[in-house]
Amino acid sequence: MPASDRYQPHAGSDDTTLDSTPRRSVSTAIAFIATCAVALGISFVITGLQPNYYDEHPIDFTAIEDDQYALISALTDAEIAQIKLDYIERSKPPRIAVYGHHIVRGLGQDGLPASAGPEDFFNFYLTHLTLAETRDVLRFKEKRGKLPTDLILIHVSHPYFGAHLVVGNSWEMPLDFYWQSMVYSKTNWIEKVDFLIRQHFFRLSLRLDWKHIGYALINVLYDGCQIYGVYDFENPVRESEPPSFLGIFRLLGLDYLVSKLEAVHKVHCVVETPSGFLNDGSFFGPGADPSNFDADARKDFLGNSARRAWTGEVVEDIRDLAREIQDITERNGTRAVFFLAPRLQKFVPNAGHEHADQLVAELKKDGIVTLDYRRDLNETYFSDGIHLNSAFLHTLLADLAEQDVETLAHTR
Amino acid sequence: MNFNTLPFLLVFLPACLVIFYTVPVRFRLHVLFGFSLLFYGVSGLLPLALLTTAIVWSFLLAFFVRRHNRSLALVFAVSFPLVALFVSKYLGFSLATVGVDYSGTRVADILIRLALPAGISFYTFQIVAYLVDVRDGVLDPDPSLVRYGTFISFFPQLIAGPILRYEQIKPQLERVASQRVLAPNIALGIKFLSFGLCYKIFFADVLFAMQEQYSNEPGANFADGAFSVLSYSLIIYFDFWSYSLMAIGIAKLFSIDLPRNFREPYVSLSPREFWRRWHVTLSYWLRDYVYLRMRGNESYVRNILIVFLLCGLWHGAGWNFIVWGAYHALFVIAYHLVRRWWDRWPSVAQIAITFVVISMGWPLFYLDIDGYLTLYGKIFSLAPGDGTEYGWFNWGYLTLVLGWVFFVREDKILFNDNQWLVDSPVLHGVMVSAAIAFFSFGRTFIYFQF
Repeated sequence: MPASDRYQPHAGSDDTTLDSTPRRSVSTAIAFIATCAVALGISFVITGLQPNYYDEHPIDFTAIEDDQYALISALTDAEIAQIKLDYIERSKPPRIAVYGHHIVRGLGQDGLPASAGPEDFFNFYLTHLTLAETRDVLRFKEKRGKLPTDLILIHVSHPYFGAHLVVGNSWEMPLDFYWQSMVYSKTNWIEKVDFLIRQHFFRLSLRLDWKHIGYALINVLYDGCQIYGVYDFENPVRESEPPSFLGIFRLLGLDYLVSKLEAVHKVHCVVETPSGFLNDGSFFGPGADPSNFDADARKDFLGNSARRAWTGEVVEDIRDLAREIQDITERNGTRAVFFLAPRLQKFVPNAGHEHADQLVAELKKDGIVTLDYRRDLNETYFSDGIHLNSAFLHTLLADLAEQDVETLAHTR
Repeated sequence: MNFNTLPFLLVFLPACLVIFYTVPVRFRLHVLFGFSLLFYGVSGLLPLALLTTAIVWSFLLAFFVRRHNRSLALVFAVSFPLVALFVSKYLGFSLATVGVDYSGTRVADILIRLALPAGISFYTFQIVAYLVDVRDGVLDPDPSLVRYGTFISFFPQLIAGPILRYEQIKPQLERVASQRVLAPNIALGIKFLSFGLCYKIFFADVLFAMQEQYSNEPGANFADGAFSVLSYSLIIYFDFWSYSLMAIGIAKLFSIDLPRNFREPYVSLSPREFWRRWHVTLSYWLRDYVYLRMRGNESYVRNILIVFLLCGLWHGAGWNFIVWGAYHALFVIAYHLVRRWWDRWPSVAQIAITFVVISMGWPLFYLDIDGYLTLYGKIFSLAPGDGTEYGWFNWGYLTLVLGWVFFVREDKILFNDNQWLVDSPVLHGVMVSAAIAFFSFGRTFIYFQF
């Protein structure tokens, strides 16, 4: 090919090769960096003004009356988790506690024998609490001498929901919690450094994000938005009109922005559907409609490709976690019981259930008390189509008694 | 690592700049090479291993090619990078095309692990061009692995171009490694970086958030379909151009000039001119290493068809990309046949028609062929649908971006110095800060997948 035919990237006047002007370079760089520092600094300060609900209003569960609940609508997952973690630190440990994700949210103190008092039980469910996180929460409690004294009931999520809800992290806990978990565990230093870097950049990006700047401004400028706190069951739905300037934005056609700001307002300023925690840590609020659930429907598949299927490797990981939990409880003189919850769906054998069967068999072989209710289709265990109720807790404790596991082994 | 992330802007880039300008002159390239590998390595060790192997392989084989100076030697030298590209990008598509079901097999495992390392198409083309030029005697094999490695892996352009030629970068790398005092045009570097970041966030990503609301399902409105097509045309342009512009700006901070990859392509007067303005470095690569080697104009229609089918395949492994390549070939050939008549038209009409033709091809980047036909079925039948997703705010935003494309001349505002407002570092600081506030809209660059 003749050389003249070739592409000559710098032939003639190439407009990206303008002459350098070094004299201007230093002053330009300083002006640029200073402007960025001022602009980002202002964003940082504004988002720092946003109230930290939890710090201002910690919840004492023992002070919540039987006809009251703690509203958590305006809080993030991490703040909700922080409420329970903080309560552990400040309170006397319960005798019995249950751990798991939202399926066990309805297990309350009324499922316990009549001899149990109101402070004997606490439900430490969080929306997607995994078994790995449960292990870390128990470590957290152990360090503080706050482990439940008699019995620790641990829900192992079904294969249907994927392995990530058992052996992974939900990342819905406070970032500091994960950091402490890493420090306690054998995580290698590369992962620790990676986590620390990600953690700080995550926090920084939140502080500089326009939505958070908007949230902060609405919270700071618009009084009466803090709805977080303890309410009576009968407390009427709290109404609050969106700020009037949103109407002006709408007239300007900024519908997208208005919808975002209205969502902020709704979350922070309006109790639309009351939901939160009862004084035993269990859930208060509306559930799904049980009539929507079809027991014959075949739903035992992983609907979402992001979900990780159960494998032999997953079973081994769960077994390791269970052993670690067992060790924690044994050295603290309490007892752990694992259970796989019933489902309001006909049991259909599949590979996931085969692995779960293998897990149950191996845990039992290890001497770990494990109750498997996957094949137990009993509508009375459910408050809706998904979530268990205290009747199930009652059955669980009765079954444990049959295995000579005492519910309230220690006297106070 | 993406340019539009805080770790890159607040840590990686400043750290690299500080170390680059403080180490002894002879270590500057080592710093650039090391940071480039780090930049690439954070996305995975397997892609990094592939990149470093390709660098070392082509560095050594260049001497073999020069010594034996035969086509077979060249074929052997380019085999590793091309096989790596084929396995990671085209193997799945090839097996599916010949009807091999590999799901659940070891092949599927390999494909998942290799899943298209970012930028592999770009650096493979740089390696192939280097080896071909060595065989042709245009270049001598570089005796410095660090300099050659920096050329292939230079982080500003590693992931999405521009595709560099060694002859254009080597003298600059030599200067960087030998000249004691460099005089980088920092003002221009910051300007390109700021505009690129704003292009990416405010034009490409915000429009993307709107465009993706469109579903090609039954009941979709024809006007929404039109919005989807037009907005995607702008999204892909600003997504790609913003990356290139930032790459040019960042390279400038290291006193290295990269070629401009886009020259206002949507004001092209014809499909042929479009390809001289869009992804310029790819167009010229295909021209120099494919088209001219098949004796170019001597068999124009055949060669254009081959070049554009290859161009389509370069963009992705799928029939939709091949059809997209054929679509462009068709219009370039059509223009070639009627150009005397076409060139007499008013330039406004030429630009408008060219823009519409080009824009109508882009949905093949994200729709399969059935989906593509469905989309245009809705648009051309003026299907009223069940209502519209896009209000006048969306259309207004789209119009604003279109206005920027057609009425703002980058040749004047970006590629000229001494305009007090657009050259103001204060404006650039505000632009970067505003873009950071909207990083939550940020997405990975579309061209990372190519």
